[in-house]
Amino acid sequence: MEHHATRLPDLRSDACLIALAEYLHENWSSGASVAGLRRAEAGFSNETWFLTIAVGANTETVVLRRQALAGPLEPYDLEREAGILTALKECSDIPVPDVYRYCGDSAILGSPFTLIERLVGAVPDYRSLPEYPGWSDPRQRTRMAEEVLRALALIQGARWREEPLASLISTSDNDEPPVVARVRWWLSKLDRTVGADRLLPVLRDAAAWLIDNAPPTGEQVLVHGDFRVGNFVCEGMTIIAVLDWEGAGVGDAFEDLGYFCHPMARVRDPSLMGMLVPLDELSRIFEAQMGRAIEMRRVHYYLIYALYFHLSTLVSGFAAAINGADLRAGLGYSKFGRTTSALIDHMRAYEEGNHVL
Amino acid sequence: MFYDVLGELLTRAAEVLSTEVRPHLTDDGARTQLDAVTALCADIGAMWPSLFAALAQENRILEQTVGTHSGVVDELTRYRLVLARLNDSFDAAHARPDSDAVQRLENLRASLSAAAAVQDALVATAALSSATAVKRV
Repeated sequence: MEHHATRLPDLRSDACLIALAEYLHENWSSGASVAGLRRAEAGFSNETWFLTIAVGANTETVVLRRQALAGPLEPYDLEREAGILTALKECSDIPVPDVYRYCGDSAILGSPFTLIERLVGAVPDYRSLPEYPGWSDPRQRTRMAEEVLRALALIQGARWREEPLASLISTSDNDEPPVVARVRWWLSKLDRTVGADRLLPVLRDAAAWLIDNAPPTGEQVLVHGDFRVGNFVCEGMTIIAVLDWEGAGVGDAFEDLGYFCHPMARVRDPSLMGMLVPLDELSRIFEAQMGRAIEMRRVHYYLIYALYFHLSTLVSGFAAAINGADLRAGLGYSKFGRTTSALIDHMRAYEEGNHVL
Repeated sequence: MFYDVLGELLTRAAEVLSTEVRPHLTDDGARTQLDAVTALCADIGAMWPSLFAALAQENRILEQTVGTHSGVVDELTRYRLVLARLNDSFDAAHARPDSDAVQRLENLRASLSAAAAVQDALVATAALSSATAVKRV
């Protein structure tokens, strides 16, 4: 495996706090200072902090995101994500936080960072969703599922061919479906970081299978790329913002839905898509929101892609942890066996025309 | 004794980290990393007694499918060799999609599933034993 990463300096070190205060003084307000800094319990990639800025007697808390040097989804690009968030304000009705500042100067905090709006709400995760208030009531779960599909409709309604979004969302010049480029990108990355001869064989098989079976390019829409509970800010069962746009791109209209139905995201209750509602109910809500029926074959294909993506990130996280990323990213080894079996079972079922998710 | 006690020591190390070291850490980031180390020690400690047998069993399953026995005695070396062989076999089967290749792919996948079940059973022993609060991917 390649070894390249170094650790970022502790954001609470004196050197970082002084540098941050100077940045705020120059770029926020001349009287601004750091009044508080607390790390959020968030993912293993880009760091998320709650930064309280004082200007005179007033304080404001914002979210500071610092770009990771290493992690499962490297290379990271906060500038692109900040650009997408800003562009979505112009090119869509998707609720996203405001981006206040982007700083690309790594000399200040060791890596680029953004200051973005802090939204007051909960960010339940699919793993802990059964403990979320209201989840035990099926009507409340249905309500959240309706919100999820409302958010999906807004994402798919984004005007991605318009600037400033168009320049940030890369599209391929050839006729291949966009998912094929993503499959190839992951395989190439893992061959490079893990070693071609050490790759889990199921990933090589699944990559070839996904390329061979990719549905023809149909309607192309904006794809979030990590569309799941865990990336939604909620007030009760209402989604007030969609987060984490680093994987956004253009793709098939059923790609995000297939990802949402990902089997590894409903281990605690496999009958509930996204840990919310059974498939038939999700289909009913989808039809009501989108005005058309779910194409099960396509959703199934993108569910298989989601499994491939998931296993790829687990392997990538393993390599990243060895190279200096957050050690938690390496603990995905415990899912290798289960995800391998799920991939094989779903590829077989798809070929047999059995699209039971 | 040497090979027996290493797993037990790792299990004990996880307990020490959790009960004797963690309470003294005030930094959230350091606690998070300590929790990850604790989970690793607990997992490997729990898997240790079955680890070598599971590896040997996976090797047998996979070697049977690719139709070769490397003759290498060291199980980890055998594992690396058989993974490389499987990767080549998948490449070859996908490159020539005839009826033989379809059957070949089916056999290779069945073998991977059987090996994954062995790994899953091993991990399940760790999941039962590991009581750390670390957030996993």
